[in-house]
Amino acid sequence: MRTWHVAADLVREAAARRWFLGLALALTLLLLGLVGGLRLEVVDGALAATRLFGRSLFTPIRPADVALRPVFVAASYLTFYGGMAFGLLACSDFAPALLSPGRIEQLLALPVRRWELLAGTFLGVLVLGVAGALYGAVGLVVILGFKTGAWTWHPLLAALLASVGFATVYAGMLAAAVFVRSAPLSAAVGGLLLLSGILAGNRRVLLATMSEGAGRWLFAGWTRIMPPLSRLADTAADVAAGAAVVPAELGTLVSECVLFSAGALALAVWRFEQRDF
Amino acid sequence: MPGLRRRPGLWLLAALFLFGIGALVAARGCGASEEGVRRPAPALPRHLRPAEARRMEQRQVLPPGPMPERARPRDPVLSALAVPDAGTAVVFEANALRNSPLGQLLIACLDASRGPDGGASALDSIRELGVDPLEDVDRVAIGDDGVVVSGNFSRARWDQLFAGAIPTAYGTRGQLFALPSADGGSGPVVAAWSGQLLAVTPGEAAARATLDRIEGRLPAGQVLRDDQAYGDVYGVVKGERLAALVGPGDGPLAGPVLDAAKSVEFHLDATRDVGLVASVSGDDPERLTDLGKALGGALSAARARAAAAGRTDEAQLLEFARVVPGRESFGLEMAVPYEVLQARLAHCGRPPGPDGGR
Repeated sequence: MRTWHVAADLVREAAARRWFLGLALALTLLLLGLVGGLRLEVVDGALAATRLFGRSLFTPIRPADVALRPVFVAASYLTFYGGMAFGLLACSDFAPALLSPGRIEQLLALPVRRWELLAGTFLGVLVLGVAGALYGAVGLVVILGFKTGAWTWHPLLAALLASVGFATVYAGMLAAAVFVRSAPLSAAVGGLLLLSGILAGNRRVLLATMSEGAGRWLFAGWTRIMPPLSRLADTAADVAAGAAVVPAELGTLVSECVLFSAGALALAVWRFEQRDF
Repeated sequence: MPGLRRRPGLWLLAALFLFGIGALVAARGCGASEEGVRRPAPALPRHLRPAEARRMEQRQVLPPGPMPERARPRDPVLSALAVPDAGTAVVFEANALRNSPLGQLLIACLDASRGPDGGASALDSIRELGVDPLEDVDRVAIGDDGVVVSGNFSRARWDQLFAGAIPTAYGTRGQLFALPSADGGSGPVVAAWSGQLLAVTPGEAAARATLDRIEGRLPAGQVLRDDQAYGDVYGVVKGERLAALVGPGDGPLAGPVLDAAKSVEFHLDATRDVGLVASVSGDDPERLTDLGKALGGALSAARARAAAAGRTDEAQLLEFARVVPGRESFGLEMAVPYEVLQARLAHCGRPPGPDGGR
């Protein structure tokens, strides 16, 4: 319960920040723009004509739900990578701020365990990520659903998968902040983890191009530990498009992310428990 | 967590354990989902591809005999089809189809249809005449003046194939075989050219004109240009022929099709999946636009009906169908994945792999 209190405090703090207000405003304006500027003509369930801000788009005439798939795929990639980039910048100073002199002593004086502080911080950021991703996805689904009559829940699941990807990276950022209290370093570690996740998603192709040696061995080891974030992004896009996804493979991808996040959090708690404030 | 508080090293152990389990899950889980194994989208024949351009060039020959002015190499089959003001030309790339995964599935079906005793099939009867339909035939084409078959007929026994017909030499490399009709009157006339082309025509005049077009003595029309010869089945249906194909009783779309469409060009590719691209053109852009929308709506409705009725295979097939609007024409694109064909024809015999020997 105390973990949730910490998370709620973090969400309240985020709500007062310009970054998050800006994101909410930008998403809202984008969705309102779609409401007013997008005109879709549907004939017998087929998307027959599209006009965006008065300009006619020559798009193929096909069933509305099929025609919307590329839109949901694009939205899924945007949520995954765009949301990740935004999160790296906007959330990088939550943990350093938590650990700042004066504040951390005050927090530790409360009846809250150290691991609960870190878990609450992680949970709060996770809530922010899920809320942002779902706000955009639900808005898009509702607007396009009303305009075409084609309703789908797949983009919502894709948004949740994007949140899983961001949580994986943020767990590493949180651990980095506990070791060195620096927002830029935390963001840099997040960027490094994202890059590693993209490499891990393409490790087979990359390993095939590498010659035997210590470098290849290190790369193979590192990309084996790192969750394949690019594959998670591709899978999220497939889910958004309603493509058949093998549940066991999806489960494996999510498990890798959850285990990595839990491992990074455990590492962060280990270091946090050792420190004196 | 008081135990962990007293012994923080346990958190480190937990972290290492979780990273290790994650790596183990990754190692065990990688397989079909590993990168680079996504199924490619069905290939749709939208234009002449490099291999088809090379194939087209290899087929072009200069007209035999004295070189007429401004003579250019031409494809004998397309020349044979190019009756002036022709309304129909449809070409089946028989050899390519036979070597495609679809062709191999169909041949497996054909073999299976012989039964366990392996009795003689219709193909065997033709083989006895010196022509193996599966090996010697390159293309089969249908035009206004009959059927044209190209390939290697150097071993054909014409006397048996056209029993009762007396061959007449015509042109530089041509021969005519007048076949009697069932009632004893004059029947179709077969024009054979250079041991590589046969044209079954309704009469002698058409047969002579066919050979004249091939050998450059008559100007050829433009029913199907060389650069339209792509895909494994391709063709054009125009004007009255189109109206004859689409009757008023052929559903609610027949009327709009007859009103708006003046010509339909289509290309079918069976390299792996079966993809179809058809281009419908007409004189009235507004009517064409309406027809495109109506067709798109009909496909969408058919898919919805199939899904509602639980016919998921059919619904999935219709997902690939789309209408691509244009200013003076619109395109219709459809595809059938190889796996669907394989499942549908599985009962015929053991299917080959997706490479299909191509």
